[in-house]
Amino acid sequence: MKAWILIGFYLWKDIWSRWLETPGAVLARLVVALLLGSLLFLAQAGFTLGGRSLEHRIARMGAQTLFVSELTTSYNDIGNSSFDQLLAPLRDRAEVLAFRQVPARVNDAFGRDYQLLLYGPATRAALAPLLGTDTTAEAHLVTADLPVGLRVPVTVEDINYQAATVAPPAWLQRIPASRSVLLLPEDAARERLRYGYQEFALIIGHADSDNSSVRPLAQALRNLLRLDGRDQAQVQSPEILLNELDSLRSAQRRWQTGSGLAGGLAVALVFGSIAILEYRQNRFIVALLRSFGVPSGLLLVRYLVEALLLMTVAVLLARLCVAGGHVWIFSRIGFESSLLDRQLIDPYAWSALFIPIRWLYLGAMLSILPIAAVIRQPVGKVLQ
Amino acid sequence: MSASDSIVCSDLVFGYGREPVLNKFSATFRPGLTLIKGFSGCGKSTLLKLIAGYLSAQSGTISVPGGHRSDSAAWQRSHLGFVFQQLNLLPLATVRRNLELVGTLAGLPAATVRERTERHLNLLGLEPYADRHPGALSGGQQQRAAIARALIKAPQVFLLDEPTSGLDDLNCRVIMNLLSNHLPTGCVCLVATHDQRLETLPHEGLDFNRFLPVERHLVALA
Repeated sequence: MKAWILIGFYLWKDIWSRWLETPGAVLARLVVALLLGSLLFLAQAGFTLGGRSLEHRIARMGAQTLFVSELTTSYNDIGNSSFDQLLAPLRDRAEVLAFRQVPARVNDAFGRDYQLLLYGPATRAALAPLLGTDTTAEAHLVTADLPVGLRVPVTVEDINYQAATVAPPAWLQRIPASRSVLLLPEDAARERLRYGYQEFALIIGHADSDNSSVRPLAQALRNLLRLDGRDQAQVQSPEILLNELDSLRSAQRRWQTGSGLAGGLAVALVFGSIAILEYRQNRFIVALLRSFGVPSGLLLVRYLVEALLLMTVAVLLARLCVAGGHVWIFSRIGFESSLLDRQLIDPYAWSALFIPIRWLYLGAMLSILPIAAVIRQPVGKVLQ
Repeated sequence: MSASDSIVCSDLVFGYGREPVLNKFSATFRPGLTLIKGFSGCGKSTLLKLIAGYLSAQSGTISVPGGHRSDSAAWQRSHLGFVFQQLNLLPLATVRRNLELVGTLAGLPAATVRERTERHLNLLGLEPYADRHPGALSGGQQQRAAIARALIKAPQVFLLDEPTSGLDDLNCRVIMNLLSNHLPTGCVCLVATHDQRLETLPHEGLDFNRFLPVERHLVALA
């Protein structure tokens, strides 16, 4: 064992001595690996940020949320089944909140305006967590302007109600122009429907579902609408963004493989060429060590260690450079500043950089193959 | 003496190109000193490298003491000492470290390595230079250090290729003294040389010129 440590120590001195003798060879390898590493890391960061940007947009829209709306103007349509009834088959895999938005003048005691939303019995069950167990209130004001739990007199046209105030839920943002709404059971204001209404529903997938489950949900929704002859209904779905995200990730994988292969090959060629040049200058010492009975495998390790060491230095420097210019580079490309906070999203985490790095290291390892071929040249042909 | 103590070459054929350097060469080298004499290029060095396992014969066999394969790294580490004409020492290690490294590689205990290193440095007059790197030594000192390094493992086979070439008489006498009096017991020592000064050593001899047409060619030119 001690012998191999001594040999290892000698070989390390040999590496160091070569670096001092020919700094150009070291610098050339470092610069090539640094440039390739920086390029791959930048692309990796770009894909990560692009993906996160889409994910944020999807999250804002509701990754699991579908929105369907239909305008009804004809009095005769009142008899049609409501979304509350029609979308009942979706309730086993999603929360369905169906409303009819009625044109009516709604004011509270403070003179504020509200939109009027009517809901059916099935949606009442889904709204239970929001409306609470207090069944004495006949109406509910959903607004951030008033404290929760107040009883506020509200007038709908000429009819007075006592409305309980509740906090706006997240899904309220999906309803167009709906900062504050008055929720009424459909039975309490059914006669208002005769003036026409806009019907809409939010279909919110269960929290434990993944993003891919929204596609079959959307398809089921479209099928239900088609079966009911609701061709005018408009469906908004995050599928387009999800498809875009899938395309981005697919492009990222292709880029990672393609650029990684090209980068690895470039490293293998540059490192390999320089290693061969250095070996030609050093082959007498290698042969002398082999004449003592040192296995050629151990001598090959010297070249492997050198290549991996230089690659490690280059990778660290590349990460330092690219991470240092992160905000400057990506803000100019057009990414939102909220995405560029590395405390929140770090595209240079080692786990994220592992994929491009492994190609570079593979190239560095392959670079010693030519030496592996020539190092076995008979000692007697090298040493005189 | 048994054949297993000797180096036996049988029908060796070897060439660097089309012309063979050795053609059906056979010889037995017994323990003790053997001088292999001949003109430059006659194949002396090639024979030593074949015996050391540094070159492979195109045909024929070589058996070395102990029945080892001569191209085995283990045998080379433990039982072979080889002194090349040039480039014998590791340039980044001191003379002492050159000796210690080879002794340790041979598997000798640390105390033995230390004791033998000091003994051989003393024997070859290298003590003042023990902590110098090879680049700071003269040619004669380097050659003596190389011999010391080869002897530290008390090899079964000790091969020297032109060990006194280009050395002054004083250095030559130190090496001759070592070869006459301090070879390990049972060691087969082959010295390839055309140095007439080594003729005074008690030895067996092998005139390599007789195997080659080169002698006749040079005689005609002379």
